[in-house]
Amino acid sequence: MKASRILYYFFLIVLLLNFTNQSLAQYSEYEIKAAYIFNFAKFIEWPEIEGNNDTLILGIYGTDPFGAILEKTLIGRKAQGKDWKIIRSTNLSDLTKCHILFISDVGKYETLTIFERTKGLPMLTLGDELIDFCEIGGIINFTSQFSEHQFEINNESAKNKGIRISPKLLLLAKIISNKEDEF
Amino acid sequence: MKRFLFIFFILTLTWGQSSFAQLTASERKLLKSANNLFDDEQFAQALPIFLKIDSLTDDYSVKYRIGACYLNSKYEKLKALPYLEELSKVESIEVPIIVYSDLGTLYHYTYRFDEAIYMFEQYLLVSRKDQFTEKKDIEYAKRMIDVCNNAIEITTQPFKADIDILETPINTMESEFCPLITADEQVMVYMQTIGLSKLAKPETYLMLSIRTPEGYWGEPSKLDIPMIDKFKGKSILLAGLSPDGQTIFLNIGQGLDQDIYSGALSGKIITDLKKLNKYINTSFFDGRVSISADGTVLYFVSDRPGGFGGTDIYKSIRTKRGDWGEPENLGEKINTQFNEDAPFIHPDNVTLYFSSEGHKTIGGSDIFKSKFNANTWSEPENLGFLNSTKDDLYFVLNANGQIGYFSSSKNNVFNKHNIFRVNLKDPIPLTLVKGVIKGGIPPVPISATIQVFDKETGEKIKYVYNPDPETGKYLMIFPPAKNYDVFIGSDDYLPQLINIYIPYQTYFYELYQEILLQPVTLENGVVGEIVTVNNTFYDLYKTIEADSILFEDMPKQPKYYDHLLELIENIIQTTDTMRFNYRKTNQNIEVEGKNVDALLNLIEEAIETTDPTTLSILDANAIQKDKIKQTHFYVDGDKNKTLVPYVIGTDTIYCAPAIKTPSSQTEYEKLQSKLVERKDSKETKFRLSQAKDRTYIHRFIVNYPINQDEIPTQKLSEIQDICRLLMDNPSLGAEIYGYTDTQGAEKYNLSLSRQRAQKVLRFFIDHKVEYQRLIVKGFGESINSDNNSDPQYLRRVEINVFELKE
Repeated sequence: MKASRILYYFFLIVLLLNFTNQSLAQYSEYEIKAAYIFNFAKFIEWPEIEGNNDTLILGIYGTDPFGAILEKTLIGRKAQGKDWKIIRSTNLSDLTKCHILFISDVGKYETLTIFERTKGLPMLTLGDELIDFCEIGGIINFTSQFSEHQFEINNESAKNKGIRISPKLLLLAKIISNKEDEF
Repeated sequence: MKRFLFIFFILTLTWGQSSFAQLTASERKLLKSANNLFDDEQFAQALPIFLKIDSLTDDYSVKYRIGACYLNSKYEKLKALPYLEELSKVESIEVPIIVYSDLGTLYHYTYRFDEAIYMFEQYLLVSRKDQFTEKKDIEYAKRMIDVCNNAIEITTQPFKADIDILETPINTMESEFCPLITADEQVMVYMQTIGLSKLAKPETYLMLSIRTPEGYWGEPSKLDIPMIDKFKGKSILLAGLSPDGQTIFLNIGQGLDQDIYSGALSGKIITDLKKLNKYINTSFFDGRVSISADGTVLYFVSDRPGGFGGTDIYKSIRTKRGDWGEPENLGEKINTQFNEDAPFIHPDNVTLYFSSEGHKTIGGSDIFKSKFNANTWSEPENLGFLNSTKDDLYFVLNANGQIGYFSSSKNNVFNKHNIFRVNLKDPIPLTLVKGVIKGGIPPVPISATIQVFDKETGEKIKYVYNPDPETGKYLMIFPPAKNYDVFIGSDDYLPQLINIYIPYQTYFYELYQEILLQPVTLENGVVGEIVTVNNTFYDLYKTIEADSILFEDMPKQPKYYDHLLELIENIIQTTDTMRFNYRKTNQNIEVEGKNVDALLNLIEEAIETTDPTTLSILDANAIQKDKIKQTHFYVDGDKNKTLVPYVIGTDTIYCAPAIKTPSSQTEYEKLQSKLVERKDSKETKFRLSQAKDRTYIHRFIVNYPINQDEIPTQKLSEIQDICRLLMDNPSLGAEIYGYTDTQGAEKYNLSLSRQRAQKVLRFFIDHKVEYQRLIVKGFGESINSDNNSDPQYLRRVEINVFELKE
């Protein structure tokens, strides 16, 4: 406990050095992730999705670790001049119109099934610290705390879907490329 | 009241009716009847008559009787003041000396303690010359002088507590009293009496209110007792509530013959109502109850003989057979010759709150606190700031010892009670773990037993409540700064041992825990279980109150530390609403608009300027959930082989390998687990491992037709299932071993067996299982392990899924 408290104070000191405004206060894991989602949308361009040009749709597949945080963060704020819409479902067919598909707490097998079924849709797949998410074709994956980078990006997968990710984002991410079959 | 009677008896003898000469015969008759009513203590009926007579004549005895009637009224005591004050200034034989004592009583009632003391002293002075003075009146005056001195002392003490009256829908125009709460302050039961100021017979109801997610008390509903017909003609009153809110105690009876019943409270329905045994229930009055958090000690009120006088508080300990044992009087430290009532034992099991008319009361019944230490109760302390000169009763406290509830008729002319909430700002360092346990896919509440052991001493922690099978919710209360083993038993799942660490704190602390037990299945059965433990800790989520206590301890630190802490406090202040809401909504923090904007802008700016430092700080500073997900695979497919022995205290228990939540890991262990995660050791560890280091969790055999190496199509889905298992569990590897029968050339068979194994490997690879985790071999001709030489069983590929031993 003592060590972690010292660590806590250490970070607070670091924090205070960077202290420009009160915004560096502590946030919880999922508040920060929600804020990333909002900002990703500002640095990513999607191809036209038929019949939907005025909203950004975020799909939450299966487990929803955010709860009300997501609404608080996204609703009422615009990214790319568009309002947000959040759809939560355990059924992929409800989520085909999404710009971002957030996937949490599923195994690799299920992840692959999702990729299989969303193939060809201009959908940004976003993993919540999922194992090998980008390696098997996911586009962005959050990494666990204290990793070198806060997220990983597989830009090939993005390009394949016609999604353009800003170089600024790429610079901040750990870049993952598709895993070749080693035969 | 009897003291008035006696004096008036004397007065009536000596005066006769000589002073009422100016009254007519009918008026004298009226006066006589009023006097009779007065002697019968029918003050309310006597009063209007005396008032009428008083308007016709000027007589001290009538004035005194008016004063006495008011003093004895329920709601108009203060009206006695001008009458008694006037009389006290008159030196006349017609004025009874008791007027000084009565006036003293009134002054005390209205917090005029100095004047009260003067009046009682005056009374004692004059009573010495009066041969008719009763001893008990003298004792009363002496005691009241003490009480007034107590009151002066106690009411002038500064206090930190905030007292608020509960708003509607709890408090209404009617009388609400006797609030009882659960340790987590989520449920309150209380009584409501309707029609107290009306002439009709007032009725009392048992009420229940549940705290809303926003933190308010919800619309109350009446408690429902399906067996109520059994108790026709008897009163049913609240007596107590267990800290987990699952057991309710009632007083049922007529008048002073009350008995204690216990029942199960589920929603707003009380079922399973049972009268407690003959040790608890006697032919005397047996009233209010408080049960300790571990359910082993029952405190209750009784006026049975053998006590110290009035009602006393007793305790009974649960016997090994589960029933209540012979009660024991709490002794002279707690019980006095006056009435003691409304015991409340705090979940810390050593702090007792009770009401008493004795001890250092400031008048009427007051609330006291005493601690049990070294086998004795401490001198009861008057909770002065709560108490008034009227009756103060029914104090209860939540588990952190900070928020209490009580009822008082304070400031209410009709003596109607209201329920008050008090913030004592004196929390007790205890940790309350609220949890929910669920099982299956999708998860549903399951019934389970939970035992908690102190890791150091092996001692079993008492304050643990098993989950409610309906909701899966459980409650545990224990002291902080320790490692605990939480042992969970359930019918369908492996027994689990979970290590948790409760951090040190000087404040109260809440921890939410979620435990999920889920099977890992293959097409042909269960091969393991996934345990997910989700702890939401608040060591970074101190409440404002907690901060203030924490910061009080800090001045010992060097000076710059103070400055730093001040800055930290400022930061924390800006996120207070967030933290408060976090407490309420478990895992989902409600954020103030401005904070969200700040965070969004911060991240946007960091991306815009590609500034990884800010993002790293944000990440390092993020409040993470203490969560762990662990899969236990059955060894050789046998559930029981997965169990390992653990020694706890003197016992050995068998359960699945212990789960260490991140918070219970030492710094070294945390470092280790990080290293293991980072190092991409998959490359070598599976392939280089030796058979003896592998724990097999699933074996699958694919049989082939003669000279075939393609996987038979009917087996594909089962193999795919194994691929899924491997994919979802990076800790697993698999042997893929190919064999042939003994027909044909040996060399050809060796190659055929390799072909078979390779084809299965290809299938695995195609299904995205990393080849590093697969060990592929062709063994050629072989007999199988069962010595079964039937060629169709010999032509096979064995898929053995394994986990590496630690």
